[in-house]
Amino acid sequence: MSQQPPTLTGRQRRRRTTLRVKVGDIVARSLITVGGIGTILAVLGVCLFLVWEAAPLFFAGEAREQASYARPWRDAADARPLHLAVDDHRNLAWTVMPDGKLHVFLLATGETIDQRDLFPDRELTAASFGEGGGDAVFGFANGQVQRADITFETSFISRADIPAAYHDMSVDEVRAYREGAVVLTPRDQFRYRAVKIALDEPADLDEPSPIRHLSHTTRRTGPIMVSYTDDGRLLLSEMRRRRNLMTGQVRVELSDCDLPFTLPADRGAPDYIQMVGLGDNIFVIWDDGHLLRYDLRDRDNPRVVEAIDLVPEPGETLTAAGFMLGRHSLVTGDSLGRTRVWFRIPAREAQRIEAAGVVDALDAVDQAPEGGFEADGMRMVNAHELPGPASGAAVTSLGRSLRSRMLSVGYSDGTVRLYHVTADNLVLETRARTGDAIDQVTMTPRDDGIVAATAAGLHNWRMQPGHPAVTLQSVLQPVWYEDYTRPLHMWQSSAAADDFEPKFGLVPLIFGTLKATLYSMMFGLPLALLAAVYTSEFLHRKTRARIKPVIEMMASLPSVVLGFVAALVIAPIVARFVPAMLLAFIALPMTYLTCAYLWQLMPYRWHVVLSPWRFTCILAVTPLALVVAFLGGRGVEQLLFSGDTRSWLAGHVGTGAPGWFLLLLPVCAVVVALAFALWINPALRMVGEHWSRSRFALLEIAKFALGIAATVALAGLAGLILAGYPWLWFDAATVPWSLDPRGEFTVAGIDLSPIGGYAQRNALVVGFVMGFAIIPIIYTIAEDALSAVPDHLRSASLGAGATPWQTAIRLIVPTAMSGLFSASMIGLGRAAGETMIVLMAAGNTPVLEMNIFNGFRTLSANIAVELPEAAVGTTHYRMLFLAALVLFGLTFVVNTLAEVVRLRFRKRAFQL
Amino acid sequence: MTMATKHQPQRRDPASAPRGRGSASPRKHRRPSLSAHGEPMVWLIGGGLAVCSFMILALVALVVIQGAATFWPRPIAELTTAHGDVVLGVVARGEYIDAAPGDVEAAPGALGLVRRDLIQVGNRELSGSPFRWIGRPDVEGERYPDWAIFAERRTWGPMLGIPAGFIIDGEQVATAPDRVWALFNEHHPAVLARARQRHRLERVDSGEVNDREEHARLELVQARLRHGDDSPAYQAALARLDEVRQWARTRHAEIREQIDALNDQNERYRLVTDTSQTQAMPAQIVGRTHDQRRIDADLPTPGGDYATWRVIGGTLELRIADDDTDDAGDPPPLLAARDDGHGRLVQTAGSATLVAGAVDHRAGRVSIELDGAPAAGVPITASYRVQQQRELALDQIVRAYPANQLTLADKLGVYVDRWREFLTEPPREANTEGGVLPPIVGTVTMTLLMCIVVVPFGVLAALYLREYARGGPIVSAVRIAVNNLAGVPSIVFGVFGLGFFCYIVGNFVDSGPANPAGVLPWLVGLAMLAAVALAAAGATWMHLRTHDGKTPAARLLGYVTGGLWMITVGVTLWLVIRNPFFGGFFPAQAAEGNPVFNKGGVLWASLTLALLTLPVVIVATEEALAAVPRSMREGSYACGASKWQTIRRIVLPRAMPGIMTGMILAMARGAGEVAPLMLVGAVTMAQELPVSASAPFLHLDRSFMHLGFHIYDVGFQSPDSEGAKPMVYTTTLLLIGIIAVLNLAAFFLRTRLRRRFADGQF
Repeated sequence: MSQQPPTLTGRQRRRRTTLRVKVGDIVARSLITVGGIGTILAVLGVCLFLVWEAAPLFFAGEAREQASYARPWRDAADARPLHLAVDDHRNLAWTVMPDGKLHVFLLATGETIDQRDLFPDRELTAASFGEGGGDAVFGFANGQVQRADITFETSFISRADIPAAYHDMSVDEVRAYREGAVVLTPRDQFRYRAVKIALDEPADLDEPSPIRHLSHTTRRTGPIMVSYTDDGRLLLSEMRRRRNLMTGQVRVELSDCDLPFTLPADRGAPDYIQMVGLGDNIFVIWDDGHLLRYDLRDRDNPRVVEAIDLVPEPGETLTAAGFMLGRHSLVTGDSLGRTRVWFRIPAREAQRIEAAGVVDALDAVDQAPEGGFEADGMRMVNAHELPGPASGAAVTSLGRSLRSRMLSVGYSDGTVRLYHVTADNLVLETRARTGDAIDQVTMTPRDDGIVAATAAGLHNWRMQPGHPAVTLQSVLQPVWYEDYTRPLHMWQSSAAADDFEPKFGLVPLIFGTLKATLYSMMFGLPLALLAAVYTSEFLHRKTRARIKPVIEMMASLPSVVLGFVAALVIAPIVARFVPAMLLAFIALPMTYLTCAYLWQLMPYRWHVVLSPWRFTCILAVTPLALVVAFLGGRGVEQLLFSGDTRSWLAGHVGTGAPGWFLLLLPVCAVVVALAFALWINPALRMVGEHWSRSRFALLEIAKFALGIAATVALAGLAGLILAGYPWLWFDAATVPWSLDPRGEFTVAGIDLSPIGGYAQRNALVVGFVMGFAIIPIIYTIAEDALSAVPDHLRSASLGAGATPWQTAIRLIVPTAMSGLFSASMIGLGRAAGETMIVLMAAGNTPVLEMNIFNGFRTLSANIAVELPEAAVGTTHYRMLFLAALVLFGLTFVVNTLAEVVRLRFRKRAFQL
Repeated sequence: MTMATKHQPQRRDPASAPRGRGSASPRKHRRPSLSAHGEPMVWLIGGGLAVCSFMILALVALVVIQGAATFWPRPIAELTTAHGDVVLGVVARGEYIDAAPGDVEAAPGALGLVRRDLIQVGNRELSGSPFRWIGRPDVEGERYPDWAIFAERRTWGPMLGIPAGFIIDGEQVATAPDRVWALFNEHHPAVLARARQRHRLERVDSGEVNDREEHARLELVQARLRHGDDSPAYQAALARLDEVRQWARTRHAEIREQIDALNDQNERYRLVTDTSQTQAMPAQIVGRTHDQRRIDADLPTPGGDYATWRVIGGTLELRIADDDTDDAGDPPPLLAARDDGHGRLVQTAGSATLVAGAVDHRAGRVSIELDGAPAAGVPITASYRVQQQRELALDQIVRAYPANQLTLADKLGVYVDRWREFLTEPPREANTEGGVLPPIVGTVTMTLLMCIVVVPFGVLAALYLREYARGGPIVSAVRIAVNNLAGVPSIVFGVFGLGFFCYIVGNFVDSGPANPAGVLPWLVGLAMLAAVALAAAGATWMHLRTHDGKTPAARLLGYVTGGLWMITVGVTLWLVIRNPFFGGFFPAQAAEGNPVFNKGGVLWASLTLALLTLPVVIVATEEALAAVPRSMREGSYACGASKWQTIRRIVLPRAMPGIMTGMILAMARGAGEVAPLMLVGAVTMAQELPVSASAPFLHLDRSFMHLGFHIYDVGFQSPDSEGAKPMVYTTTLLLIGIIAVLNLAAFFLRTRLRRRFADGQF
C-alpha cells in the first residue's frame, strides 16, 4: 500500500489511453488522409477531365451493320441503280434504275412499299441528280429531257386516324403504311413519311438525238444543264419553268446552245460529264483520265480552257467521278483504288505550289485548245489523294455527305471506306460480307449511316463518324481547305456561309499565345529582374520595406482591370504617339546613363552624402525621360518615318532603312558595349590610373558620347545596307538586295517580320500591360532568391575589396541564377495563360504574324470567347477542351521546370 | 579620393607585395577604377525599379483619380464655336492632339498640338450621341448659364436644359426658372417615394405571386412526368394550379390597381425644359429667276426625336461666306429670320427680302426664297438656332441639380448621394448608369461560398502533407504538383468547371443519371457495398486493437483497411451515379429546356474558384503549420496527448493566423478572377440576386453579376463606350478597393496574430 506513490490531486491516474481518444485519433487521421489525398487528386482530376473530354476527337469512327438483304428490285438484277437516296431519319429509301423504275422501300428490312415506272412510254438514257437527289433531270432516247422533284414528305397522324393494327407499335419502330412508312416517336406521335414525285412536262432539245450524258446544276436563276447526244454534240441548255396559271401545269422551255469545241474524234464518246455547282465550268472526262474543262462564264463564248490527265499511270483507268458537297471540287476514283480530289485554283498560285513541291505538277495533254490552256487563269490541282484498300481494288462508287466534307467510297471488292477529305482522314472502313463490287454507295443526310448496293443485295450500316474533321495532323499541320489556294494553318470555328467548313488548326492560337508571351517577357522580364537586383543589393533596408509591398500589390490587381486599362486607356494613347512610345524605350535608359555619368562628376564628398538619395534621383529623372520622349516623338516621326508613322508602318511611304535602324539599335548597343569593355576600358583604366576622380569621370563621359555615336552610326549603316540604298554601291544596278522589315518573311506559314501595318489593339500594348501582371511575380520570387544568398558571401566579397557592383554582378547574381531562372519561368507561365488582358487588348484575330503592331488570338482568349457558344459534345466543344489541355500542358511543363530548379536552388542555398 | 589614399600605404608595404597573382606584376596593384563602381550600370538597374514603381503608381493614380472624380458634379458650359454652333454641355475630359490639316474635330486651319474637349451634351434622344468633340481654338465664347440643369433620367441618359415650366394636372403653374425649380424641389421627393413604392410592388409583391404560380405549374409538369396524364396526382396538381391561377389573377389585379393609383398620382407632375442648339450648315444659292433666288440647306442633324422634344421656335441667319474678312464691324446679315415654331419663317432683319421660307424639321430641310440676293453660286453660311422644349414626368428624373449654382456643400451632397446610389441600387441603362448592388452582392456571395468550400479542404490537404504524410518522392511530387497548379491558367479551371460541374454534375442533379444501371445490377452493387463496408469496418476495428504495434502484420492490416475503404468509396460513387431510382431533383424544369443546375450558377462558380484558389490555401496553411515550433508538439506528446489532440489543441490554434491569411488571400484572388466566371455563371444582367429574403434565401442555381465581369461588360460590350467609361472607372476603383482591403487585412492579421503567438515559443 505504501508503495503506491501519492498523486497530486488525490485521483487515481489512468495509465491507459481511453478508447475515445484512440478512436478520435484514428478517425481524424483517416479523415485527414482521405480528405487530403482526395483534395489533391481532385485538383489533378482537372487534367484528367480535360484529357477525357478531348480524347474522343482522335477516336476512329464506328460503323455497325444494321441490316443486309437482297435487293428489293428483283426485276433488274444486273443493273446498277442510277441513284440511291435515304431520308434523314433513315426510315425510307428510294432508287431509280436504268430502266426508269422507281423503288421505294423500308431501309430497315428492304420491304418494298412502292414501285412505279416513271417513264412508261420513253426509254431513259441519262440522268442527273442534284444535292441529295431532290431535283433530278432525266434524258431520253427521243431527245427529250424532263425535270423531276423527288422528295420525302413528312406529316403527323393522330392516334385516332391510324388503323388499330398500328396502335401496338413500339417507339421508333418503322412499319409500312399506305405509300410510305410510319414511325411512333418518343413524343407519342405517328410520323408518316412518303416519297413525293413531281414531274415537269418533258422538253425537247432542238435537234432530237438520244441523250447519252446529262449533268445539271441549279443556280439562282434556274437550272442549267449540259447534255451529250448520240450524234456527238455537247449542248448547253438553260431551263425555264413556266407555270400555267389555269391548269397549274409546269412547262419547261429550253434555250439551247451548242458548245463549239468539238470533242477529239479519236477518243470517242466521253464517259463522264460534270457541271460545277455555279454552272461556270464543265468537266468532260474520258475513262483514261483525260479531262477537258470548259469555261462557261461568258455564255456566248464557251471555250475549253484546260486539258489534263487525271490518271497519269498508263493502262489505268478512271472508274468513278463526282463532286464534293457544293459541287465545287471534283472527286475521281481510279482502277488502282485511289480517290483524288481536285481543286481549281489560280494558275499562278498553282505554279508556286508546284515549285514548292506541295502538289505534283500535272502534264498538260498534247492538244492545246484555241487561246491556250488556262485561259481563264485557273488550273486544276490534285489537292487531296486518298489511298484505297491494300488489295488495290478499283473504286466503283462515290457518295458525298450532305453536311460535311466527308466522302464514302465503294470499291470493287466490297469494301466501303469513309474519308474526311479536308483532313485526309480515313474515318472508318467496313465491308459488304458477300464481297461483291459496290454498285452504289450513299451517305444518309445526317451523316449517321451508309447504304451500299451491290449486285447481290443492299447493306445498311449505322455509323458514328466521331470527329472526322480532326486528326493530330490537321490540328498541327497546314490543311488544304476547299476554296483556298494552298494548305494553311487556320482557326475559324464559326460559320459565315451555309456550306461553311469549320477550320480547326490550333497553330494560329498556339502562335498567338507564344507571341503574347514573347513580347510581354521582352518587356517585363528585364524590368523585373533589374528591379529585383537593385532592391536586394543597392536599396536601403528601409526603402526596400516600402518599395517591395508596392510592387507586390501589383500582383493582386485583377487582370480585368489591366485589360480595361490596356484597351481603353493605353491603346488609344499608344496609337496616337507611336514614335514617342518607341523613343521612350530608348530615352529611358539613355537618361539614366547620362544622369549616372553626370553623377560621377560630383566630388567624392558629395557622393558619400548623396548616395542614399540615389534612388530618389532615379525616380525623379524618370518623368523627365518620358517628357523628352514625348517631345521628341514628332521629330523622330519626321526624321525616320516620313512624318506619318502609320503610313510608314503600312509600307506606303519611306524605305525600310529606319526600321532596320531601330531593330538593330539594341544589337549594336550591345556590340559596342562589348567592344568597349574588351578594348577601350582596359586602355582607359591604364591611362586614367593616376587621374583624379572628376577628370576620369569626364573621360568616361567622352567615352559614353563616343559609344552612342558609334552605336547610331553602326545601326544606321547596317540599316542602309540592309535596305539596299543604291548610292552605297558604285553602280545602282548592282544592288544585291533590298530588304524591308515591314514586308513579309514567311517561314512555314508564319510571317516573321517584326513590324508592319498598325492595328490599335496590338502586341505592343499587350506586352506593356502584361508587364503589370508578370513583373510582380518575377520580381517577388527573384528578390527572394537574391536575398536568400547568405550574407557572409556578400561580406567576404566586400571585404576582399570588391565594390558593391562587382559583388552583385559577379557573385550574387550567379549564385542566385537558378532562382532567377525559376522566377522567369513562373512569369512565363503566367503570361502564357493570361486571359482577360489579351481578350480585351489583343484584337483577337488568329493571324500568324510576328508584327508587334498587329493583334493575335491566344488559346485562352479563344476559349473565353467561344466556349460559351459551343454546343456540348461537338467537335468545336472538344477542340476547345483540347486547346485548354494544350494550355494546361504548356504551363505545366514550364511551371514544373521552374519548381524543380527552384527546389534545387533552395537546397544549394542551404548548403552555402 | 579617400579610397585611393587608403590604399596608398598598403602599396608601399613590402609585406603585401608577394600576394597571389598581384606579385607577378606590380602594375596590377591599381586603385579601384571609377568604372569598377559601375555607377552607370547601377543607375540602369535602378531605372528598372523606378519604371516598375512608376508604372504601378501611375496605374493606381489613374484609377483612383478617374474613379473618385466621376461623381463630382461639374459646371455646365455654353460654348459658341467659330462655325456658329452653340453647345450646352459638361466638359467630360480634354486631350491634346496633333491636328493634321483637314481634321474635322479640331479647329479649322489650326495645326500642331491642339487641345480638344469632349463635351457631354446629353439629350440622347435628340442628337443621337451624347458626346461631342470640340477643338479649343474653335471656341469663341464660353459662358455658364445660371439655370442650366443637369437631370439624370431613368432612360435616355442625362438631360441638359433650362427649366421653363412646371405642370400640375396639365396646367402650367410656373414659367420662371427659379419658381419652377422651387416647385420641382417641393414635389420631387414625394414622387420619388411613390416611384419606389411602385417598384417594390412590381418586383417584390408581383414577383411573389409569379413565383407561386410558376411553382404550381412545375408541380403539374412533375406530376405528369412521374404519374402520367390520367393519374389522380396529375388531376390534383391541375386543380391546385387552377386554384393558384385564380388567386394570382385577383392578386395581380390588386397590385395593378395600387400601381395605377401611384402612377396616376405621379403623372400629375411634369417638368418642362428648354434646350437650344445652334447648328451651322452649308448652304448655297440656287439660281431661279433674275431677282428671286432659292436657297436650300440641310439641317445637320435631321432625325432628332421631335416627338418628345417639341420645337418651339428658332432663328435663322444667312451671311455671305467671305464677309468675315473685313473688320469694319459686323455688316448686316443677308437675312435674319425667326421660326414661329410651326415651320414658317418671319424676317427680322437683313439686307435681302424674304419672299417665302419654311423649315421642315422632320425631313431636316430649310428652303427659302429671297429677293435681292447675290447671284447663284455664291457660298453662304447659314446657321439655325433651334429652340426645343420637352415635358418630362417627374418620376422619370432620378436626380437634377442646377450645376452652375451649387455651393461646395451642395456639390458634396450630390457627390455623396451618387456614391450612395452607386453602392445600393441596381444598374439601369444597359449597366452604364445607376448602381452596382447586384454585382457587389454576387461577388460577395460567390466569394464567401468559395471560402466555405476551399478552406476546410485546403486545411485538410495541408495537414495531410505536413503532419501525416511521410516524406518521400511521392509527397514531394504532390507538393510540386500543388505549387504548380497555382500557375495553371484560370481559364483552364473555367473550362473544367463548365464541362464538369455545369454539364455533367448539373445534368445529374437536374435529371438524374444519364445511363442508370438496371435494377438488379444495382441491387447487387448495393449488397456488395454492404459487404465491403462491413469488411472495412471489421478491418478498422482490428487495426484499432493492434494500433500500438508497429509490426509488419499491423502495417499490412493498415494497408488492407485503407484499400477496403477506398473500394467502399468507389462502389458508393458507382451506386450513386448509376442509381436507377433517382430521377433528378428538377426533372420538370429539365424537360422543359429550362435547366436549374445544368447551366452556370453561383454554386458552380464558387466550386470552380475553390479549385482555383486551393493551392493558395494549401501553401499558406503549410507554411503556417511549418512555423509552429517542433518543441511545442514534443511538449504536447510528452504530456501524453495523442497526435490528433496535439494538432487540435496546440498546432491548429498557433497556425490559425496563417490559415486566416491563406483564406483572405484566396478571397482576394477569387474576387478578382473573371475569366473562369465568364464560362460558369457570371452574366451581364441578372434579374434576381443570388440571395433573397424568400424561401431558400440562398439560390445556388442562379446566375449572378460580378464586379470584374461588370467591368468587362460595361467597358467592352456596351454600345456607348464613352458614356460607360466613368462607370467602369468607379467599378474598377471599388473592385481594387475591396481587394486592397482584403490584402491589407491579411497583412495586418498576419502581423498581429504573429505577435500574439510570438511568446508561445519555447
